[in-house]
Amino acid sequence: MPPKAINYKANSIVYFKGDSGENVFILQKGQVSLNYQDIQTNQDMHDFVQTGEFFGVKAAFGKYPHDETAVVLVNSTVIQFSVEDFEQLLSTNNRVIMKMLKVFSNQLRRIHKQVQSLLSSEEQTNAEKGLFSVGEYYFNNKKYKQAADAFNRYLTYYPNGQYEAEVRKKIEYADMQKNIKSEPAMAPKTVENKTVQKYTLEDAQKLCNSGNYTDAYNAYIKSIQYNPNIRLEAEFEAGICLFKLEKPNDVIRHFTGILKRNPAHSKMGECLYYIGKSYLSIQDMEKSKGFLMKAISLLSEGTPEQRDAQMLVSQIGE
Amino acid sequence: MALDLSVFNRFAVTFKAGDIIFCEFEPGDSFYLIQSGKVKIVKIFGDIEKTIDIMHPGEFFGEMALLEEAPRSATIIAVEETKLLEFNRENFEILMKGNPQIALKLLKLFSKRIYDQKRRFQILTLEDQHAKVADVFLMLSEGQTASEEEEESGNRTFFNTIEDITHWAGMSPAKCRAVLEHFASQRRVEIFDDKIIVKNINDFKRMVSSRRKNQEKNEN
Repeated sequence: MPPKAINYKANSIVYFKGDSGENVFILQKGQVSLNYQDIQTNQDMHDFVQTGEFFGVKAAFGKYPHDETAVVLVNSTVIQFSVEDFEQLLSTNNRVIMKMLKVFSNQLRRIHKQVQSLLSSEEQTNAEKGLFSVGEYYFNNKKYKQAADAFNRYLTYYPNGQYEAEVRKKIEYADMQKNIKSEPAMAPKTVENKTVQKYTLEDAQKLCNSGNYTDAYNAYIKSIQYNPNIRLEAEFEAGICLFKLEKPNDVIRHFTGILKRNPAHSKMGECLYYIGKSYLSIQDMEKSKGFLMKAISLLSEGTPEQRDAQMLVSQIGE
Repeated sequence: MALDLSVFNRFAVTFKAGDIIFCEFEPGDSFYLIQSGKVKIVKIFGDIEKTIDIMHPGEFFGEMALLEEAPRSATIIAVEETKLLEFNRENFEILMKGNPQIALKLLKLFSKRIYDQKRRFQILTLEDQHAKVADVFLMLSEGQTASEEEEESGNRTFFNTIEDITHWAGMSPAKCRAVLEHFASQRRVEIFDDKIIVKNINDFKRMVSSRRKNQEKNEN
């Protein structure tokens, strides 16, 4: 059914609360009020629709009943669209979609907050404990890959958390089990040095120099478990591996994490430089420039990083 | 209409089968659009891992992270090799502006989420614990299409566990179990390992609406 204009007399109803939402409406002329009860206070609310505004969209999109009654206040003209026609109309009007996304996300944020405020404290499990328990579940069920994944995330967010020691032990065990399971063909080689397979910075550097950045990254991360004193250096080098692997989003996250945890990092300039370069590769020029400028001010004069950053900034220009 | 998202390849990330994409309780600041492959959404309840949904190319997940940096509410695991586009709050606008089709999809998803959250709010504001649990079943039934026979008898089968009901009712597992057992002793529900049968959903409807009315009267 093509869009059609419908004339309503004052005091008539476009739809009632509870009616199934099949159409979307635009107020062309007149005055319409959306009446509903505030879910928190039960107060009667009246939202007036401006001419040119849509209403009934959420129920039509979500395929659920309207949660408000649309009352016509004075003689009005309303254009009625099927969902398909309305989508057609929107698909050529990006500005309207963006505006609606903002309105909807604000509404969603508000209701989400209201729901959270009602949940009892027992329901809102402590996030640290929760993340640990996810790892525990997989570990106890011998799903070592997922266990290691979950525990490694735990360490990322809670490097000094209450379960840290236990998590490290379990990652080590899970990694061992994972290798046995997934690479039976490798068994003879791994058996030789499996039990005392230690990762040192040097091992990781060797892997890195040979261009095997994925393994080098893992080796750097694991080397920290054997020697927490080298954390700063190993983490930094692991970030460079990610950069070599051309994973800009991971690089940004990795170095941002390092700087958050170590606000006085000795290689802050370098970290900022790699964040800046990664923003450049995802073509976020503004951010890239910002980070590179900060990097320039911190890096020592004449280092390759500083010269590269200067060149990039001048290329980005305005 | 097939979408050409090749310009977004710089946001592409690939996961192998079994990889965790993100973990429940982890802080999150990105959301994902599936390009190829399959992912499952799981939640762990005690010692049970429950698959809530399987998602396919063209679908989003993690979009709540766009709103606030709340911890993730479920774990996402790649079922097979999966290619995703990863966005955060900053580059999300670029994607939406260039792709009305995707923006529309997100609008629809938001519409549904708003409704779900409002419904959840209604459940949580019920004071009576029995009514709370009954209202969870009503909410679940609203998402189903009943067969003619079910419509007639009011009998409904829910493939949910006690843990699911507990989650939606926002009460302690022990309390929720006690309420369900009470319903079972009244022969209003039958509880199985993998499903719960409500004998007469209309009976629950009456109960919830009368409790809600009483509650409103007392408040006013």
